[in-house]
Amino acid sequence: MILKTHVKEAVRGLYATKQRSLLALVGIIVGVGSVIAMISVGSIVKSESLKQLRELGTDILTIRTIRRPRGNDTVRRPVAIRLKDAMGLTDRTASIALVAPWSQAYGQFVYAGRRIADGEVLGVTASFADLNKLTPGTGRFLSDLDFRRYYCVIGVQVAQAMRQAGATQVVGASIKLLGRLYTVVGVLQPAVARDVRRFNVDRAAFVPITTAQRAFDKAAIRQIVVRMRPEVHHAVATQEVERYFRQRDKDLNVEVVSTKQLIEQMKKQSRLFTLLLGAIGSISLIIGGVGVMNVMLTAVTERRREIGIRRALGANRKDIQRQFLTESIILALLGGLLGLGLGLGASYVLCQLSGWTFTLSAWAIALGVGVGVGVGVGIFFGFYPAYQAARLDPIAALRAV
Amino acid sequence: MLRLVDICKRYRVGPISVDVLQGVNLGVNRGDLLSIMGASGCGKSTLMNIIGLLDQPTSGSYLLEGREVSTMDDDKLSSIRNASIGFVFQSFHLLPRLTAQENVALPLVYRRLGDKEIRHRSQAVLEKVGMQDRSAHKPSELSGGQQQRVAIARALVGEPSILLADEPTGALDPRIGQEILHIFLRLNAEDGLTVIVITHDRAIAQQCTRRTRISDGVLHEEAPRQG
Repeated sequence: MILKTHVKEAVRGLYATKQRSLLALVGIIVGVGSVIAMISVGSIVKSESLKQLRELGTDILTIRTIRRPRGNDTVRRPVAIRLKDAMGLTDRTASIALVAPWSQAYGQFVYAGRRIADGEVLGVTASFADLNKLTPGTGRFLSDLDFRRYYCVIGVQVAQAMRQAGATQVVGASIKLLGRLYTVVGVLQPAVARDVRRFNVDRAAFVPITTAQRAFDKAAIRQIVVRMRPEVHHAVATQEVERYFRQRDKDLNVEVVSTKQLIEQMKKQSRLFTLLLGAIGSISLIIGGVGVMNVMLTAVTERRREIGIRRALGANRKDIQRQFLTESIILALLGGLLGLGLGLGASYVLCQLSGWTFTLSAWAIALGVGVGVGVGVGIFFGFYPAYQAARLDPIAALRAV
Repeated sequence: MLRLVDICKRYRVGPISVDVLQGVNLGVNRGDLLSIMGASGCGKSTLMNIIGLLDQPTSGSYLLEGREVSTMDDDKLSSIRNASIGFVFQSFHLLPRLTAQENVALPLVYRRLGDKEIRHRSQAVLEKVGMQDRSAHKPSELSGGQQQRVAIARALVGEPSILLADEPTGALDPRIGQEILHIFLRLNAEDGLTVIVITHDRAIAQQCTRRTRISDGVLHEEAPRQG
């Protein structure tokens, strides 16, 4: 079969000039590799964040205070939310079932006179644990009965730091957060959905929100997490929440974001990311393709006599063209497959470094891209050299040295 | 079997045009053993390229096995070349990366025959030129004479009607050259193969039954050999 012969001879031809062939491959490998890595990482990141958002629940809204644009006076800090206004959401609106306002401060954690960490101290209500899917590993979470008490719940990494500093029993021990002493009443389990929150659960400490308001200067409530009642559309809830706060204080402007919107945003972002890497990949593919073309043009020049001989023996122009096209396709395909390996390898390493679970969910697309791009580049950039080979004058070609 | 009528070939190099062939007439019959002689640059190779369908005349008519081939397109010429013409070149022109057997198989590959038939037929012609033991060797592992035998096998494998040899002994020492020529003589005598040998060597031409000479772009036939 002539195709078999073409393939066999193409492989031999490429092997005979293996150094040059390998150099031409580098471009293709990098190009295909980056495209594959982008597809693979993109799909992993997307499924990872979607999974985390779903773990939090799609019935959750996040409310944040934002600056009210008023003339040129845009530098004012946003107005804070009063605790009783926040808590009033459940009773005064029809769409909200559960409310968890929180405040945020940042500073030193000190245990037994030693600074063990710097971290966030969140003033929270008991409902915060439920809404953020936080579960105590040992001890308990804060309760509303801890009103203004100096109790705290800490993340696993803070507990770890206390143990390293000599604590044998973390629950019941005292820790100084931003200059005040607290009794640890619970240690949280490692967080689920850790990448989609605005704070790092494992390295934070949680105190009753009423305590935070007394203890810290900057404990203003600027964020609220709420759960909607069943069957409420997030747009309806958003409108109601916005109206509610406007009625409380005309300067209070809030932004309401639903989990569904976050998912949409994330999808949009990952599309942008995909587009960007796609552009980078395409550029390196062009460079790789030009490399293939260069190798093939050199091969055609070097093998003019061979072309002449084949023509004399009865090969027609198509035969010659196919032979060289086969060679460039095999070259580019090899690059595509090696690039596939490189891309998957790179995304595996990236996942390891980022703590994501590496999945081959996109492997079929990746394989398709590796093979498809390889063949496509081979045909596109191999066409011109093959055409040159095919239209060589057999007599001139035979005379070539 | 082959008739050239008033074949002219003009080459144009920039503003200068050169008339290499100026009305060549030649008839070749089945079983002829014909030599074409001439000084170098006289148009021998041009004539061979035209006979071998690698080149087309500027004017004139070329009938090959009753078909007018001077006006055919490239694809048709390629397939007639494949079926009817066997080339033997001065410098063998074997493909260096292929084995002897693969070189011999090439015309049949382009004829798109099956693997088995190709192997069988190429092995058979290698045997005919005494190269069956070297079929797996690369050209670089063969001597000049051996390479030319492989090249002859390649020319024969497609069972062409004409064997066209361009200075087939030119790159070989005289003793080996004579051996190669004997293969042609034998093929002509035993199989009735039509052979056209282009040479500048009178000793080679003397052994052919018909002798022609090109001078001033025209072909002359010499008187038949004595005895």
